[in-house]
Amino acid sequence: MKVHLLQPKDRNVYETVAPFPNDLFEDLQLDSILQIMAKQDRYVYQSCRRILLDPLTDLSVIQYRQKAIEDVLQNKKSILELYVTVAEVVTDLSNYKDRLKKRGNPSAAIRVIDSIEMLDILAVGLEKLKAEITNTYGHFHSENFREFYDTFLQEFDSNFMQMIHQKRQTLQALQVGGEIQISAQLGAGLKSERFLVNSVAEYQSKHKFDKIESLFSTLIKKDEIRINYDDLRLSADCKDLENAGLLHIANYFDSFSREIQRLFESLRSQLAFLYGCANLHTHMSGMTFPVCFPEFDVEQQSPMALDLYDLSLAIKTLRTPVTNRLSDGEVLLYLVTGTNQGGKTSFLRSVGTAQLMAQSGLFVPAGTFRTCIYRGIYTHFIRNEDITMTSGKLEEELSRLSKIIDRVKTGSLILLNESFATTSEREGANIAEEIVRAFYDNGITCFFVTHIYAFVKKAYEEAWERTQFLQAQRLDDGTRTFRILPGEPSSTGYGMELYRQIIGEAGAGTDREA
Amino acid sequence: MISLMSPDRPLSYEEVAKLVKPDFMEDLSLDYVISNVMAVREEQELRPYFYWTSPDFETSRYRQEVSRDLRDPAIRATVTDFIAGVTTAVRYLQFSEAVSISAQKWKWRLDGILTYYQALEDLCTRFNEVQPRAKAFYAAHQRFFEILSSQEVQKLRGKSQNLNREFLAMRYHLTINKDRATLTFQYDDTDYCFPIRDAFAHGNADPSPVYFEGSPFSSGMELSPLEEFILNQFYKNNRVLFRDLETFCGIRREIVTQETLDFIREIRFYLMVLEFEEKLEEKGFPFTVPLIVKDKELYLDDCYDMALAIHHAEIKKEVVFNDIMKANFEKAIIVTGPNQGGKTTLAKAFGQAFYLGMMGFRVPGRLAKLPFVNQIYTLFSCKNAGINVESRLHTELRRVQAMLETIGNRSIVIMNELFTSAPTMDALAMSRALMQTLLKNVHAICFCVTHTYELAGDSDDYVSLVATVVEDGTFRRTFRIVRKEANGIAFANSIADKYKLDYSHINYRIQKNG
Repeated sequence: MKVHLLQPKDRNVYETVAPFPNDLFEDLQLDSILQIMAKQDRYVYQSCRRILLDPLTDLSVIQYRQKAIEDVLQNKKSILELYVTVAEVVTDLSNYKDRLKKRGNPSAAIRVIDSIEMLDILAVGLEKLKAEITNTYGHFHSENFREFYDTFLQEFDSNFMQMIHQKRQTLQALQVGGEIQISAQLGAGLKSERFLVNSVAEYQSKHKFDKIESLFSTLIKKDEIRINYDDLRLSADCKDLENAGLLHIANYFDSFSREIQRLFESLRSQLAFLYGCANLHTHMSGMTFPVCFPEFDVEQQSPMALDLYDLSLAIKTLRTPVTNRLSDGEVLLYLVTGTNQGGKTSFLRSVGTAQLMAQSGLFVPAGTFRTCIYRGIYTHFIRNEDITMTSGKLEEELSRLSKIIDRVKTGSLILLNESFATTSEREGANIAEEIVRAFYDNGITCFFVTHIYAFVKKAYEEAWERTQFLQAQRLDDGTRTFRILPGEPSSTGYGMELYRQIIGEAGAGTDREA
Repeated sequence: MISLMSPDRPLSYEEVAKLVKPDFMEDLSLDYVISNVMAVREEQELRPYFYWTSPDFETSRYRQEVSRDLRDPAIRATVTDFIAGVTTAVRYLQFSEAVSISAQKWKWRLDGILTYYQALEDLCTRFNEVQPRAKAFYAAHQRFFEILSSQEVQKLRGKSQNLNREFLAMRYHLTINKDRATLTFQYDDTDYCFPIRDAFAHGNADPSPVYFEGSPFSSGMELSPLEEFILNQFYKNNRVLFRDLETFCGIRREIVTQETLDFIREIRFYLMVLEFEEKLEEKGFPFTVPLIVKDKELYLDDCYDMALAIHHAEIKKEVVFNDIMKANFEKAIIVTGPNQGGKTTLAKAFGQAFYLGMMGFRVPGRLAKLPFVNQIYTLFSCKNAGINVESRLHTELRRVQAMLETIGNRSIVIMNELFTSAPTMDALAMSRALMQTLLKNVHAICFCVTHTYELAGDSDDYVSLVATVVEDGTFRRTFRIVRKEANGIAFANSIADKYKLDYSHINYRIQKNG
């Protein structure tokens, strides 16, 4: 059976929305969010990372996953217990497999024992999970869980468990020393082929009568031909054939074992993600961070948000940072300028994180979030806040961008942060305009945090369509509010501000006097 | 005689093996590429096919059709299975010559006959379904159908199948326990594993018996001691059948014809090249079917040197693609620019494309139109011809002379840094003279990499390509070669250009992603 807690069964082919998951992880600083989800469990961390960074494009699938998460938020204790149970079984299994690996290449008879032992571990695991499922049966209400529970209880009912037990006994009897009958036929070149195991039975040795029987056997049963074990070449061949028969049977148990293992592993990964969601939600509501489930409007062209904030920053500073709003409107290009350290990067992260979480079926860090579904989510952040003018950097930046362009499709979202800042302003402006225009003409939504004033000014003066100009707010007295508001782009921002901050008012005072 | 290589002048493998390697191969790094194509030892015998270039336009078309058909997965699977069938038949017939037990000898021969004609029949049946469009495959289909329809073959197959049916009916049963093994011939043939399979599959298992994979005995042509023992029992009980087998197979017949074997070698040659192309494609190097034309317009988009691609793919280094374009009236392509800027690489890429084009294969690049040529000449500076400057020039001039004696009017000439050992003005004069001869007298298509950039300005009918460097004072090579006026040293904007990040390129790239 297959587990479908996170996506419906008939959907298996998906578009890759985030072809560069590692860039997203780094640029959006997802580590701190995943830490909260994982609560020190490395496996949970990895599962959440993988699933969060593999967002969906199909609205019905997103809504299906939302249902599971909503359900889990009502049953945080049960999800923990389920996850722990499944994780224990998987750990037992992998410990056992590690032991086997260390032991090297076993004989056929030993491999049969291995199969039996593996089956035992899995049978115990199935019983444990069954108990857990029976305990929490009424707790979950979503179709996702109900269907999984019902299918599980049906497939692994007591008759089935009984059967596993029986088959296991036969296999063991055979291994101890039974009698096996195998048939075959003459194939190409008169060599034997199409071997089939006909029967397996317990065998009682008849040593006492052996001698007499061997004397008379050819006389009594004419149709039965005795193969003489005294001919060592013949007995070796018989042994090989017997082993092949045993392994043939053991393979069925193995493939069943593998199926159950896959079931446990897939279940573990899905439960890990859901458990991570529960942890994150507990943390966010405990800290009174705004949180909501996103609404989707496939007709809509750009996201609308109230109280949007950078979740990773919130987690690090242990409080809700300044929140921003994104107003409705058919915007394709957002040009964000203004004061250094004024919250622009955080703003960019808040948009990317919310969209990523939304398309992965999660709740989002915002008071309200209504958005469309993007076919791709990309980030292009300058790697290192220290902007030095070296062409090696520009080359690194452009080659990264070029890789994005190899994948990006109409209807994607791109977050550019200080791109092309590693070259002169004039060249940067040229490159920026070419690239941004191409994005725009291909229906790609672009948030662009930039210091290339020449470029932004041009866009503003030419009043580009479907373009919004956003500013990091700075009050008249120079205080930064970390709010990002619509407004005319200004050329300040670079340098002087930071200079004042670091050199201090003394420096500024000298400046005023001069 | 059927051939995939030539519509009217087929060669037997014996003749193909005598073909001589064309001179241009080494200069164009095709030796290295071909060694890479032939990854496996058994493929070495296919090497001489690379020397069988198409002599005329029709032949190159004829081969392109074959290549195209083989890229169709259904047709490819059909011929792959055909090759496997015939190969098995050949192996069986070889076994028949080699084994010592006479019954086995005749049975291997019977199996060889059956397998061979079955392969022919399967090919014809499946060709009816998959409908290859190449003339070559149509002819092969006709030819094999004719063979199968002949009365002689039909009689032969009928008798073989009758005999074989009797052998297939011979099943035996072995009962093995630790004290003895007995052989019988009359038990029911039940599959002991079916109930196990069925239980694990919740009652939905396929009831047809599942045989062991492989034989527990040796996989070679000989019988194991136990198999021989069993055969003897069968022999005693079925003397008439074994005598019939001997009477039938004792007659010497030619089964697998040389014609079929040559045909198979040719398919293997095509498939081998196709697999090589696909390996490079997987690593991001495109191949395209060139449009082969009779006039002299050409374009090659995103072409690259395959030798460099193979090497760089291994060390994960990027390869820069280039475009070459020439209008019908333009006569020559002159490449200039700094050393180590990718000029020789481009010359190789250009030559390789023509070579593969005239072989009937796809060419390295994204889009290609190539004039038909049947001769490729390379004149590469002989850097290794000795220290003596004078002797180098001599060697080069002798090669020019040899070329002029054989060159026809469907030729391309690729010159690379000719006459570097002469004083620059002499080199220029010599180059001019040579170009005159080639363009006026034989109308060859010239591709000339030269350090004498003045050559590019000689005529409006020359295409000038220039290797570019980064315009930041470091003169780092971009390995992009662009169409522009030659000026001795050349700079082009720069990194953005290298990554194709101008508006029109980005636009094109995004639209291609869908």
